[in-house]
Amino acid sequence: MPIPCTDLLRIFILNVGQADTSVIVTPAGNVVLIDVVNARKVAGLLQSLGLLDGECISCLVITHPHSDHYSGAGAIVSKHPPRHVLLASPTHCTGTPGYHALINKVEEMRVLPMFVAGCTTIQPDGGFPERTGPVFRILGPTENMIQRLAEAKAVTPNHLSLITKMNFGEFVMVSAGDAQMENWAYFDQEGLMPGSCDLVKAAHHGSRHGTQCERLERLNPKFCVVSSDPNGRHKLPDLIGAATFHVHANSRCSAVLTCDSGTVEVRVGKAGTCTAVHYSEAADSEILFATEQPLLAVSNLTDWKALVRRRLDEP
Amino acid sequence: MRVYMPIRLPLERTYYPASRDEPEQLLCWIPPHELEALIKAGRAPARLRDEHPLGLELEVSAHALSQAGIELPAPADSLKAAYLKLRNERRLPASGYVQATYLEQGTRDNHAPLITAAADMIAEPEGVLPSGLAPEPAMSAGEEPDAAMRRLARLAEE
Repeated sequence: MPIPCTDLLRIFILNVGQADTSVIVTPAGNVVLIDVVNARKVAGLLQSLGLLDGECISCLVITHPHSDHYSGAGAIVSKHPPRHVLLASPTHCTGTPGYHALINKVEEMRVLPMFVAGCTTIQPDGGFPERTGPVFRILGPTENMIQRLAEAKAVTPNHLSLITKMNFGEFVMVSAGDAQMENWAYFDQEGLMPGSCDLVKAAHHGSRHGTQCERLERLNPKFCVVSSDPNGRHKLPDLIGAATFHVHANSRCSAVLTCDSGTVEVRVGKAGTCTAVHYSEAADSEILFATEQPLLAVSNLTDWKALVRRRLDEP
Repeated sequence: MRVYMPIRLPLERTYYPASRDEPEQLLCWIPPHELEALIKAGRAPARLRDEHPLGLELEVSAHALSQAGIELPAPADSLKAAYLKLRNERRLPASGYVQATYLEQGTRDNHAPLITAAADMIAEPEGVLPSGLAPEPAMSAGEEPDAAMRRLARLAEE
């Protein structure tokens, strides 16, 4: 086993600027990657965790064909061949050359990429009752849903986004990619959204299209991580997004922007109890485990009110 | 035994939109051999060789180019304006892929004003592009993306 077995599930939501990368290490030492940007940082983390060059990762999930979600994946799969690759449905949008080069590389490695429409379950640590590892449910929009949005001229590549729902004991995580409100609504209707959860990787870098206030109220997470840099070109979170997190962070949970917290790590024990730490590193710097600080239940790492005011003042 | 069939890729530097729904967002594809040439010419940092072994795809914006440390032959705004001009004149090939050297030559010498421009595409193209359809880049052998993904989806179902 490349990474030593422990009793913990470790979830890293990396600070990669206005982009997404999550690294999940299961108790059995298997690695699941959800989106990969900044290959240098991801490779450094995998090496620190004990994964040697040439050793496999269990699963690579690319939520949708936007380069701020896959631009580092080519380098990582070249070093760490994936056993499974899950991609967004190619309905409506088949991606660009960078995405095609990644698919070519994966196929060249004799791994058949799988396009997720509906729900696909993966259990990297095995599915036997005695090995109660984490269960990942990858949710992707169906062809019908995309077609309906296309007919309404309302579809964007973000609508293809995969949502990952992961259970480990009592612990529940939702990692939302760049899901839009229609994606959430669809999976609500299908009964696939959890009633509440412990950790949310917020949708679409905290945009008003991805994260609505009522969604956060319903999920009621202990920790909410927004992977973005508000100074980035797309200026996310926007005004409404920032106000949403301001309201929610004040009253209920620790909501942080990765540009303020650095990488966030959530550690989950077998009983489902979780603690969170953060590393404060910059987007283009590597994670140093020695810089670990606890992420408090009510954190003031991100000044949401100041961001709301700044957005109000912007032209 | 499954036969490996790659998706066709541009063999030279190419400009194209992020998707048909995002025409205002221009991307540039730099295949590995051109990335290597840029690194050797000191116009791209050496770290990109390891970080993008399959080729580099980046957004054509001053912010993204500066973050990547890449120097393209023309400013980002001029390239976007030249691409938009081609689109307005219905001179883009169906794929949307435009050979980089062709678009870049359209950013020099000409000062014709751009009549229609999206809000973030206000720069004027400065060069004259030869008339007719913009040329596509040379492409590798392989399948069109649509066909390849249909084939892969079928295989996964089996």
